[in-house]
Amino acid sequence: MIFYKAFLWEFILISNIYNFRINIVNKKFILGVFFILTLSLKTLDYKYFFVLPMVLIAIQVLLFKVNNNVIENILLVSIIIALFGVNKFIVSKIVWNIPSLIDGLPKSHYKYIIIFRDILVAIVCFIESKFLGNKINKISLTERFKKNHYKFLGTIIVAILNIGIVLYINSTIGSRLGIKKCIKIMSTDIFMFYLLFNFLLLYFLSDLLVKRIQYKQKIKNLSSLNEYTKTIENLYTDINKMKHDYSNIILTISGYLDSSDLDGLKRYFNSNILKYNNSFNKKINRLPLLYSIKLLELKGIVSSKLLRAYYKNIDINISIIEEIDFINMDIMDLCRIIGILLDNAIEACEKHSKPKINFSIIKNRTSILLCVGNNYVEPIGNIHEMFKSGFSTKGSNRGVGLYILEEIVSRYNNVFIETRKEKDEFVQVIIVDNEGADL
Amino acid sequence: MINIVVCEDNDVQRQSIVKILKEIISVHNFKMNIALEASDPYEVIEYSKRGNRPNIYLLDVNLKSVINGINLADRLREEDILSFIIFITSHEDMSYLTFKYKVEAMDYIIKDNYTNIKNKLYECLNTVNKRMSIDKEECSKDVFTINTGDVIRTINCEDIMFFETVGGGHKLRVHCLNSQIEFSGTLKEINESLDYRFCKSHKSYIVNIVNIDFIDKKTKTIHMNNGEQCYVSRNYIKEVIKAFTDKYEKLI
Repeated sequence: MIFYKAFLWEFILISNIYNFRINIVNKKFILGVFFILTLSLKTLDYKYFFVLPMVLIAIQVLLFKVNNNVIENILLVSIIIALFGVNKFIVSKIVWNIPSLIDGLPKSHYKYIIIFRDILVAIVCFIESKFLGNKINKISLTERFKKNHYKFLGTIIVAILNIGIVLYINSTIGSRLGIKKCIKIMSTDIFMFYLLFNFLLLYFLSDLLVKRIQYKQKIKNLSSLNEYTKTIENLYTDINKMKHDYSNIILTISGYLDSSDLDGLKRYFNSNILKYNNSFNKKINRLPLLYSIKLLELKGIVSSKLLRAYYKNIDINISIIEEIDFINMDIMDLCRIIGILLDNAIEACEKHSKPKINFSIIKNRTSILLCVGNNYVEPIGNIHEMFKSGFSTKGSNRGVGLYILEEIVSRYNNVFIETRKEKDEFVQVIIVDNEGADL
Repeated sequence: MINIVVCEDNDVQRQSIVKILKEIISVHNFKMNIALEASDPYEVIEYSKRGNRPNIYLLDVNLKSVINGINLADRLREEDILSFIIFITSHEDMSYLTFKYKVEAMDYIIKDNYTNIKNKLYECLNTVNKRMSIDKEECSKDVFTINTGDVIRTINCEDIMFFETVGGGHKLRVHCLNSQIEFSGTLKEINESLDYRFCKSHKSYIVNIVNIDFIDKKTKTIHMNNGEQCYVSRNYIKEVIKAFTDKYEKLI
């Protein structure tokens, strides 16, 4: 019985606090995680309750899969569990101490008191979590936790919360099973031990995890930039060749001029030089136009996607006029978004007889626009179908790109997507308001 | 009378463009005239400050001056918000998306051959002519303005299917015939600038009655003309059905 009640309260708490961040698929995962927690709470013998902090930490780390920000996750989960424990404890104390309710009540009626208490706890959980959920929604925890002192503070709070939970469980389970006083005393030593252990573990763990993600990202960046450098070097070789060809052409022309051979010159010009001009224009690919992107991660991913398109013989048109050195959103999210847009554009225009992609980044006074346009071959379906998970014109395992795109953008108040299907072009624009809410 | 301004620093090309324009104007009898042909962008800026309206600006992108075509267009937009800007460029160096989103240019023309230039210019002038002939008042009612950051855009009301709230914050998404656009705002705010054709059907949706195909009462979904669906809740279903049946009565 306790088990189902606990699960219900946790459900109320999670759905309100996590509401703003996660969609249904992830919520199921979280609920599954809490299911395990509650199950373990029930089956644990009192002797093993000290395993609980480990279980808590393990679960918080698992939740990392759902929400990429580890600290935020740990904090939220701890808040949820703490609320759960505290609410039940306090409400119980209050309900059992209301004299008008308890006096003169036969023992058989106690179960009604318990049900009343359970409902009260559910209501309190709901109110608190709704309130907290709204508050948390307005704060961007991602930015805050990047600063070290917040991480530190957060870890301390979480450690204390975890220990509070252990204490609570200790006292309730302990007293229910009639544990002697000596164990309660012993538990204070255990308490000190766990406080320290918990704190250290959480701190190092979170630090480690964050560093690992950053490291992986840096490796990816490096390889993208390497490709970009290779393109530039190839271009340099091409330009060298052009220098030589140019000298040859000048020489030949001066030869014709010396001998006043106008007809010969005309023939030479029409047959050789025009063709050469055309082929050379096609050869110089437009990648070096990315020099205006001063955000290295963005430059890396854009160049690697455009290179991919270039090798698939897709005509790429790049337009970046001003320097892009700042954008008001997480750079990793931005790279993910651009990656999805460009991947989709490449896939969509491949089948066209003259595939073409237009890519431009526009810097307005207070906003930055990233536009990706591509031509396409029907049928490509309607826009609203495309945004549903699992939609794809190409087989069953793909099709989550646009869905993920929407999920990422929905986390920001200052980022907007525009999608348009025109007669001969499909355009997607991401607008980032640099003076938006999160500053 | 619509004024046309041409800014191109290559004399030969400028003269040929002006010649083509005059031809098109006389052949199709457009109420337009060449107000200024200049090679210096500053002359054009001076002109725009004089207050002659409406204007079509034909600007060359590569001007051998301190300011290039795009900057010039930017400044012109500040002075003359409602003008039409058309770019002329010698090669496809710039993506047309830049033109569209940065200075809301109407179109861009590539200087590759005479016939192409002529056709494109005709297309543009024709579009301007059509837009200017529509009654101005009707125009303003039939258009919905949205702003995201400092990008302001207008959509035709008849293309709008419905509005929905997105995410946790101040964001809305408008579903149109062939596009979906997100912008900042709340349903409450936009309700004030929408007329009787729009009806709130749900806590998170405002729907355009004109574009409803049918309403499924059982599943509480509204099917739109372009195949999309949105929702209606018990609180609003009566109103929506009433507005919907009213629309049909009006048609009959």
